[in-house]
Amino acid sequence: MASLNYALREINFKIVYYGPGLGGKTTNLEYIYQSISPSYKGKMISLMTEQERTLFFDFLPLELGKIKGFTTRVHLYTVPGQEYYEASRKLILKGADGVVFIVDSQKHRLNENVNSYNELLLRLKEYQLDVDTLPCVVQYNKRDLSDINPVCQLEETINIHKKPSFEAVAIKGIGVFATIKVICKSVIEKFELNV
Amino acid sequence: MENHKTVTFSSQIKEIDKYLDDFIIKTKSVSIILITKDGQLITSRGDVSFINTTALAALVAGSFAATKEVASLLGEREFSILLQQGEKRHVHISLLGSIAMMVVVFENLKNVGKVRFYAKEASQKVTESLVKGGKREEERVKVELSNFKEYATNLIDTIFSDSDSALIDQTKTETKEE
Ligand SMILES: Nc1nc2c(ncn2[C@@H]2O[C@H](COP(=O)(O)OP(=O)(O)O)[C@@H](O)[C@H]2O)c(=O)[nH]1
Ligand SMILES: [Mg+2]
Repeated sequence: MASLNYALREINFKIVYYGPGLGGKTTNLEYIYQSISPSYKGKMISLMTEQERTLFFDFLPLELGKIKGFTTRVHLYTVPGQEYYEASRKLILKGADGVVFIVDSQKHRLNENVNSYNELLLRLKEYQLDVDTLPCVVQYNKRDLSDINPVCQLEETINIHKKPSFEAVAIKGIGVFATIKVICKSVIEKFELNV
Repeated sequence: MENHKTVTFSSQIKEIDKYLDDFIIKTKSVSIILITKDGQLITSRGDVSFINTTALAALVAGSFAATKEVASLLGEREFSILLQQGEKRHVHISLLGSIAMMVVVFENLKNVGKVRFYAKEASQKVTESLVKGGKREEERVKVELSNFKEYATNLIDTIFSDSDSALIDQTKTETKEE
């Protein structure tokens, strides 16, 4: 699914941060944008509403530079959380090579997490993507808050496909790099040329 | 299958670039950018020196997502053409089947009819070229791939080598191997 352009000698990977609204998807991208060396990052685009919530998506291209003669990029996207942007979420997921699912660990958000995860499964199915083989990482965010579900419970309720998972406090950057490292590596690992 | 990988070959792009150059001359447009429907650049012609094409590709794909929702509210599947009018520059975006989008930047609004007419013609040719493949090049690159992965993986470690890695290790749960 990665796009491979022989004329421009470019390889582009696409990773989508999925999850319920206000879970911390944008915060993950912002931390990455602020923390990596300028030589690796392109322009970050955030389309926001007045409430500072993601309207369409956030977009951050990572520039890996030339590898074996191919200019290589990883495009990071977040999806909008609000229910009525379902079609946006679907389109952003198109062509995804990997998905990071951001869980809001707060107890009262459990249902939203489950619903969002189920929606993700539905979308993947529509695109004929197999959730078992698609690179995917789960992040349990907001571990700094007090009223949160224990990780073992979230593992059981949400991470039903037993994907690699990380605890995170995205506002402090904790767990953000660990998450993206694993998703990038599994996406690269899976990269093949069967057209 | 809707979610196929986009692979474009030099031979295809050469052909496509020819159509696009021709289009620019006929319509007196400033530039033309061909992108995949999921927001990746395929090729661009004309003057793109003032455009961040990576960002543009992502945004155009995103705005199509938005208009698709408008379309569905009106009982349409999607809009095949999008025209955005500015003060000096205008953008004409058209869908090429289910694979790609053609973004035309032009300055004289009087040319919009021409742009529309020739865009239709060009999109047929471009779609044909995109659908055709180029097997030989694929074989050649396969050999380079194993090295590619190793390099890329190491680079990921470099880019995300964190100063506060101790903190991250501490909160890391066990990583299950698939
Ligand atoms: N306490 C706490 N708040 C967080 C954390 N991560 C994000 N937030 C806050 O949660 C809110 C929503 O985050 P955002 O990244 O916009 O969520 P998105 O809708 O998934 O993109 C913002 O106010 C963030 O500051 C975290 O780890 N801990
Ligand atoms: Mg957001």
